[in-house]
Amino acid sequence: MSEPRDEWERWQEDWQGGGVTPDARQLPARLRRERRRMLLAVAAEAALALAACAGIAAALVHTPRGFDRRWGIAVLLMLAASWAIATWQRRRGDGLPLAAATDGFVAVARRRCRRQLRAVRLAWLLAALELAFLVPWWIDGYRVHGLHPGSPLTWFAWWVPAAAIAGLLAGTLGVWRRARAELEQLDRPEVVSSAAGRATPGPGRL
Amino acid sequence: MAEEDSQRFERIVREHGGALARLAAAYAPERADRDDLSQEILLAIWRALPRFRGESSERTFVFRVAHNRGITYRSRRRSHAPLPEEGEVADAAPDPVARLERARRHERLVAAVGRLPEPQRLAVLLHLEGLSHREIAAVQGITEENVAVRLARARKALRQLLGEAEP
Repeated sequence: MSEPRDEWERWQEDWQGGGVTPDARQLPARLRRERRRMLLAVAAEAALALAACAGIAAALVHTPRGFDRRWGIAVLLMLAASWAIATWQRRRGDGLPLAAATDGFVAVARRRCRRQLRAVRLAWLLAALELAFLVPWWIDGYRVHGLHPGSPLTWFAWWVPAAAIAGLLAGTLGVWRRARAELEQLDRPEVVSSAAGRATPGPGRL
Repeated sequence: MAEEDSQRFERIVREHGGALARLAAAYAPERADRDDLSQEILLAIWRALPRFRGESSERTFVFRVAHNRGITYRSRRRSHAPLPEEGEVADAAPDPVARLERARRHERLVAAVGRLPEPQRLAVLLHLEGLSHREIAAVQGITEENVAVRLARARKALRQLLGEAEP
């Protein structure tokens, strides 16, 4: 296919006339910042999971009913599993093969978004299960112990778990939105056609 | 990172830094975001370098990483910059008319390339950086024929975006 070389050459000249080499000296500091941020995120996640587990454990100690105990243990195990999965995924990084060709990369990026959406759905399911266990216990606990909103036990058994669940919902909602938006962008026809570049292109597809 | 990788990374920055900055400019329409993306690209190359075993040429590897980082960057942001108008270019460096004119042409081209569809954009970016059709095909994972088609369509689109007449 013949192309007017002079046009490309002119554009090449215009193109290469700009662009300043980025300053790589900032990299070590940036890496340190990223590591700190990741450690903080892991610590916050661990604290949240432990607080939720402790809340359920405290509820289990106080509950006399066998069904509630079994239900609570199941939720506890699911919470621990979900935390372990999240930690494992974090250790693996974002899992994107950055050095792969575009088609493979876009396919993996899309899979990663879908995986994030599934993980969020799992977190919401766990939160619902936890609430299904905690709400009856909160109601019974209030009645049995004659609690008032400011008492230490109320803080430990009500406010902290409630805040943890609210935090979990807010955090996962953010992840959900970002993953949805990213997936929408990656699913745009022009990106899809990039990933399927071997096919014969139709009008406007390249 | 081993000493050898560090030296290699420094050489990559020296040899391809300008090209990477231009590529970042095509993916980050806002001037303020460009440095950020440039740094992200360098970080991605720095991280990926120890795993690079020479399966492709180093240049192909660098541009693959940079482009893939550009895709994720762009997929998380949705704005598209308008083409800069006359007199809008901020680069008012000492050497007056010629330099300003060159900067203006560069900025307009960057903005126009940034508005091309994803696959065309990468093909054009690499072509403008002087990569051969074979190298572009290796970066994008497509055939050389597809590269030629993309470039032909991109040329047409660029002419329209830049307001240039058909020859």
